[in-house]
Amino acid sequence: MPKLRILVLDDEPIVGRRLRPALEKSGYEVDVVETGADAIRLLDEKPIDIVVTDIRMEGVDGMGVLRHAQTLPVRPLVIMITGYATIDAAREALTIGAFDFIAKPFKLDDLRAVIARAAERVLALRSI
Amino acid sequence: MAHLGRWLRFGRRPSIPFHLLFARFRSILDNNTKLLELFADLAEKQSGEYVFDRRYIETSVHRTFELAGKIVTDLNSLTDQKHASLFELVDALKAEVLGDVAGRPVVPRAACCIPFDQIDESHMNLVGGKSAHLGELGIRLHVPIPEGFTITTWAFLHVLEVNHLAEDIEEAVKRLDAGDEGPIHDIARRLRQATIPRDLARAIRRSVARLGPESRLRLAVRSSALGEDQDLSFAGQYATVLDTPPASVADAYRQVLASLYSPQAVGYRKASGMPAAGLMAVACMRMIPAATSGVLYTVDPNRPRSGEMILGIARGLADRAVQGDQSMAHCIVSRQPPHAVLAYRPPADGPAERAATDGEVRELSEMALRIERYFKQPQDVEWARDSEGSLYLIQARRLRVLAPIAESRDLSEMLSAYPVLFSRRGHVACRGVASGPVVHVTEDSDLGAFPAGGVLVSRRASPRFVRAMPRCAAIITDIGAPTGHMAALAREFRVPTLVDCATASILLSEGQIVTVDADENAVYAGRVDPLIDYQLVTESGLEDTREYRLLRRLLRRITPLNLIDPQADNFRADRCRTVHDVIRFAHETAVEELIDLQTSGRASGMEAARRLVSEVPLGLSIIDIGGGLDAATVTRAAPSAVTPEAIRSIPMRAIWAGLATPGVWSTQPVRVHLSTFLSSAMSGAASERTGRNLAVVSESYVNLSLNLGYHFNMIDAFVSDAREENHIYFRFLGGASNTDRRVRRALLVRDIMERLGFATRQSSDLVVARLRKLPRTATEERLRLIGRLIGFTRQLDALMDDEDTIARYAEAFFEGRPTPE
Repeated sequence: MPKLRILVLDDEPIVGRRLRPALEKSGYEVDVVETGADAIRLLDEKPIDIVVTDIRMEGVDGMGVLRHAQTLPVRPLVIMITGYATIDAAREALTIGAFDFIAKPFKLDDLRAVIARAAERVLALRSI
Repeated sequence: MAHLGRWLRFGRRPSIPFHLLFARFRSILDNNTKLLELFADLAEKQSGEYVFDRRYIETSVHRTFELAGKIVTDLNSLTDQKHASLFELVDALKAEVLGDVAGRPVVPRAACCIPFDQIDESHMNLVGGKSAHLGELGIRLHVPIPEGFTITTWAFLHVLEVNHLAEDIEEAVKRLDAGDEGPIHDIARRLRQATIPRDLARAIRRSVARLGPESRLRLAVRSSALGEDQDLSFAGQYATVLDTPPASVADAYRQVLASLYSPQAVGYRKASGMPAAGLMAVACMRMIPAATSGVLYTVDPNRPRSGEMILGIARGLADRAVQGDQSMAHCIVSRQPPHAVLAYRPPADGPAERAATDGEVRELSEMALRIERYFKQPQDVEWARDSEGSLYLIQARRLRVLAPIAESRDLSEMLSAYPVLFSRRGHVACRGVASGPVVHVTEDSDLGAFPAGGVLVSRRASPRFVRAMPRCAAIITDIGAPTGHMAALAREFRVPTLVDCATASILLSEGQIVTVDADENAVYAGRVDPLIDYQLVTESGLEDTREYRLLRRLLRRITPLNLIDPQADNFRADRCRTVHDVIRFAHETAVEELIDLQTSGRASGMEAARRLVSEVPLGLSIIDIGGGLDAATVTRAAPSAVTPEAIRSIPMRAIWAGLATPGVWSTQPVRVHLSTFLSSAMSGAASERTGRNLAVVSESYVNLSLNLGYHFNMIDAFVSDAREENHIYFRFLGGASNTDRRVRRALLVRDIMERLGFATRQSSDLVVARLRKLPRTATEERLRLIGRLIGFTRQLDALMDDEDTIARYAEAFFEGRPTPE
């Protein structure tokens, strides 16, 4: 069984720096980018199963990446990271198809749990 | 009397309705609690279990100062602007912290020179990265470093000021942007000839003199610029002046300062996002009369997975600035104890025999790996050994490794081959990965002899383990909290630590080699090299990221408490140093002020504060804001005093019933080892020591501030037949004993409150408990129990010698015993 591929997008480098080792140790293949444009390029280049993205960023933000993800032939599941005062945006993200959201600062274990649920869904979809 | 009173008040400001002042008072208490919870929230983020970013820090800082500002404003309204100086203090702290958050280092007013043995990471902005690291390694890891001192950035700003350079530097940087190098060279020239202010010159002379009188004393004068540390090496950008005789230190200092202003150095700072104008501290270090010296890389940069270190040794002094690699001998040394020399290559032009014994290689290897464990990154270590054989660390910096150490994509598969002893157990107190033999200890073990690189395993967490922390690889305990005192120490020493692992001390046997992964809460049998390698290449020292450093510096400005005892001489506004000091002072002063409001004549529409006369030595005054005291009883008694029978306030009666439980205050649990103060508290001097306590009551409401000895109880409760409005808010803080016992008592209080159905939050010695919307009788019952709990716990911390007492005393409380023992 090939590993699940996760793309982490946050304009604050520390988030990717923290998430990459944690997710790699949990057995995922991880790519980390810091801009929405890079995320979109990567999504077009190779298949990604799960996207973890900050919601608010300069340039193409998390919503932009979510919308782009929805246009792909195989849609990745998108988990939004919300900051302060972006709860409304998170709700909107859910209505247009985000898998779930998690509020920053969060515990690694909480994110792992959300990703594990997303992974189950991906595997279920694959088996259809 | 009334006339006289009015006459005396003549000329003062008009009095303010009491309910407005009381609203200020409640606002102080309310914001005080919010801030304490915010402190706990920030402190918790240090464990590494959380993902947070700069925005989180910014938001928390703004919130901190917003709340602190409100508290100071309320306090000044309440006290007729008596403590206006606190505004300045809060503003100054805010400017400093916000400057730091924004990446504009604010240099605090400080000494011109600071000795190495007084420097730690908190001095970063004053002494620069290189000195801060060296000082930190000396203090934290007990690594031997040469004696010396650092001339601070504060002194540097002083030099710029005296020589009228600051503005010209700004200008020269701008001109450099436009391609004109002339002005920046001119700045360097002016600095080489700069006047050293007299006080700085004196400070340098004194600091040099402290290094000893010998005529052969020579110093290495090195840059320690801001940002010049593990992440940015600035290699070769700034000057180092070796072999400086005492009389020439000032000259060398000028030369090093001048090296800040070369076009390359300015360009480098710009490229790495540092302020281009530069900020320089200068380290002056005794030169070790080296018999041998050299460099150790903790991994082979070209073959990082080989498990080998590279050691360069030269006869005499081998500063890289003056000598090339040609004259060095090279050893390949195993990373594994006992660090055998695997290969040796003599210097091209030197003698063939080895310049270091096996024992010397081992000592050096252990020191370097200790530093690597601390920074969780491969290290490039510069060392020297004097003719008497003593080893010194000259400098340690991150080693850049280009080839991948570990292939991360295979990691989870590789890990599946290693036997897991337990996983997903306990809490992370400090993250990281480490391996070593299990060493069981108890709280009584001799930790001075703890073996280097051992994994400390214990039934209970204890801050006494601090003695082993500079040497141990990891810590695992069965019992303990990530917010406990030991956990905080483990983070300071950066020792990967798992607490609350239930039966780890039984599962792990003495001497067994294990690998602790305090990221995944897992312990493996044996040494799991892929995991250890992986950490070295990827974790890249999370503790050293800007965000973690910022958080630590921030916490140091905000959370330490210096104003502990309200009776002490230093309990004054001008002695506040941190935000925590300010809010502690505000709380205590607000209580005092409210008690005195009537006599000061500042409030109108209030009843006088009345002293409660009772056998229970609380020093309690009561202010009735409507129906809280029985008017008939009050008038019959002395006008300034009431007896408990007069209390009509529903919640206050309930609390009092608990507080006055027979046996709570009359027993003598005073053991021999209790401090004099506690003994005196029991022997009748209690009302003096407990200070002045206050309850503001109405028929359905109480706001009670009880300061007993050093600890605070705060209750705000509303109780009536309208269940929807009923609430209890209880806050418990502090204690006279050491932190350990205080935390145990807080845990006991938390456990009891949880069993009573309260929502609680505990952090260190603070417990906040809330309960809402219970029927009247149930709410009253809980207030009675809180009253009894306050009596029950008031000296308890002095008795709580070990963790078992938490459960034992909780049982005693629920059995209805008035005192723990």
